[in-house]
Amino acid sequence: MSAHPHRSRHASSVRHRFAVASRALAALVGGYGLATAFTVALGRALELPKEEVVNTAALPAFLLYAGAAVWAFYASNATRAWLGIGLPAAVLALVAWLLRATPAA
Amino acid sequence: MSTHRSFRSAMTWLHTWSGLLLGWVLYAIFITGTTAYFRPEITAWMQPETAIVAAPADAARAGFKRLQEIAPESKRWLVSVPDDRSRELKIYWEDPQSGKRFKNEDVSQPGEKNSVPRATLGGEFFYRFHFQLMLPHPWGRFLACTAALFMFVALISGIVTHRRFFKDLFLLRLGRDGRRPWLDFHNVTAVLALPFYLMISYSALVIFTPMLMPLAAKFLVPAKPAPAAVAGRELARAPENLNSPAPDAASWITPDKFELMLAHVEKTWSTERSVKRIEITHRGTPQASATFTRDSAPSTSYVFTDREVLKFSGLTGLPLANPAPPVKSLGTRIRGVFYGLHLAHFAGPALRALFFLMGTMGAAMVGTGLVLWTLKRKDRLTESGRGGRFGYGLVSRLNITAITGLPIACAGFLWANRLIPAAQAGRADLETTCFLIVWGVAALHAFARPAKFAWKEQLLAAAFAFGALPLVDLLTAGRQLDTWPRAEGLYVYFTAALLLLGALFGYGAFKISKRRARDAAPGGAL
Repeated sequence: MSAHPHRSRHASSVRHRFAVASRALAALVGGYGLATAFTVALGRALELPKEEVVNTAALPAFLLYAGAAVWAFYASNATRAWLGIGLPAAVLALVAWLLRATPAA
Repeated sequence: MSTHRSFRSAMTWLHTWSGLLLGWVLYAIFITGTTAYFRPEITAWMQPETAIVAAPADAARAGFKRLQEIAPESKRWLVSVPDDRSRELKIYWEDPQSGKRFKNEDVSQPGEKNSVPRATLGGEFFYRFHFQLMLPHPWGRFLACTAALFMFVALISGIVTHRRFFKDLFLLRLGRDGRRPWLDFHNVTAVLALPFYLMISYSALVIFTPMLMPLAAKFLVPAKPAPAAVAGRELARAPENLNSPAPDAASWITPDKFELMLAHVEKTWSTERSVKRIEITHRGTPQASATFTRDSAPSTSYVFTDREVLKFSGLTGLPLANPAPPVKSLGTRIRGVFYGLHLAHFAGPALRALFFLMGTMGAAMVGTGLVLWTLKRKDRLTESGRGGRFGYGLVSRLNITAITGLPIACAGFLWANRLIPAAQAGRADLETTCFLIVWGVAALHAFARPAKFAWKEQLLAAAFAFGALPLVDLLTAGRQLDTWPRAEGLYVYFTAALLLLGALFGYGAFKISKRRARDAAPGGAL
């Protein structure tokens, strides 16, 4: 796949630019999906009144979001950047889905 | 080992670009946000006509009386009562025509000269700018939150890039030329207040969670027609009973009922910490009630439902049972602490000054970071002689527009406050227009002049704009020199701060021209 952004500073090929754009999307959009999936999963696991549940479950989600952004630009290529964010997001979404039966507090 | 190296260089790349992309927005957020720590003080300075402070009960009465005149038909009234920091008495009412929109009026009490306080946004302007950026709702808030996220990421990647924290602290090579002093200054400002920056960017996201996480909320909070249990949330509204019976005369809350409530409030709460906010809801229905909220105790945590309230029936004027405060989870408490730390309402004057200083350092950190980008790019352009000049030119001009242009515009806002006649119609909007015009002129200037001249001229302009403000104030606010010995502390501090700002910008202009003179080779550095 594409080269690492810092290694190919001078290579302004179209491919390189697409790879950077892809990483940026993984960080922003993928990271947001991950944070949302995490919030829903944690929110369903915690039994909290509905005024408090989103605000509480989102507290660690923002740290995860930042972590996803760091990963997106550290991963050795753009595909790995997406996988490293998408897979945990899918797992969390599954967990959230499994917890759906829990009656909302 | 090689993984480690590549991790650091990836983080350097991320730090550079996440910092640059929203750097100017972040700089503006830091400048206006740190200014907003003194929101009531700025409002007080910008309304020299206001009285010192009326007793809370008298202010409440005045607000109530004005609402009776101006909005007898409205279902919902709010009175914001002055406290020891704010002299502002403001009333809000739901517009009976549009149903949802709130209108407001400043009914601050006139001072000695008995002149009506001038209309101004005051410190509220900086506060609103800080998170709304003068953009249409909600885009300003989204942009500000994106900037907070980028800053958080830039901080994390910056920490990884510079692990030698304590060494960096003592590494300020001011005498050396090139980008070394800029890099050192960037690192010193970053490291000195790092916990503050981490707190401030993270808490910004925490504060806006409800706006940022609509999808999660949709999944977590079932959308069934639940009875409104959003107790105490600011501006949360109880469901209006649309099919309510014909309005009962008593339920509009008469002045004698209001007096009864006030008497109870004065008996229950001390005069030092009394009523801050009065909310009257369901006017004209049998459910009419008035809720008095007490001025908050100094606490790090900022949770709306933590506030002490007294609720009264609008029909009888007698107290109603207070709803038991909802039990709050650990998460809500943690969020409250971050919320409170961000706003720093708990801080006394000294601590607030420290927060202000750290905010200023944040602006300096962002500003030096932006300048560093142009210095690095310039070095690379000289080496390779290839393209990239457009980006370099754009960034260096935007840097000037933000770093010196914004402070000049802020000073312009204060000039407008003193120069626009106090009785001028629509003067609050005119002040904002002046701010925008001054900033626009600064931007044009930054793009029109060679960078090295633009920096110096704007630094001089900022020095003049702030340094001359006390004089403008003296000539326009109806103050005479001989009243100075009796001037309030607030006025003295404010004037001193303006002079200090002027001196700092002047020093910057002096340094920059000295450097220019020494570097006989004019390369348009910066």
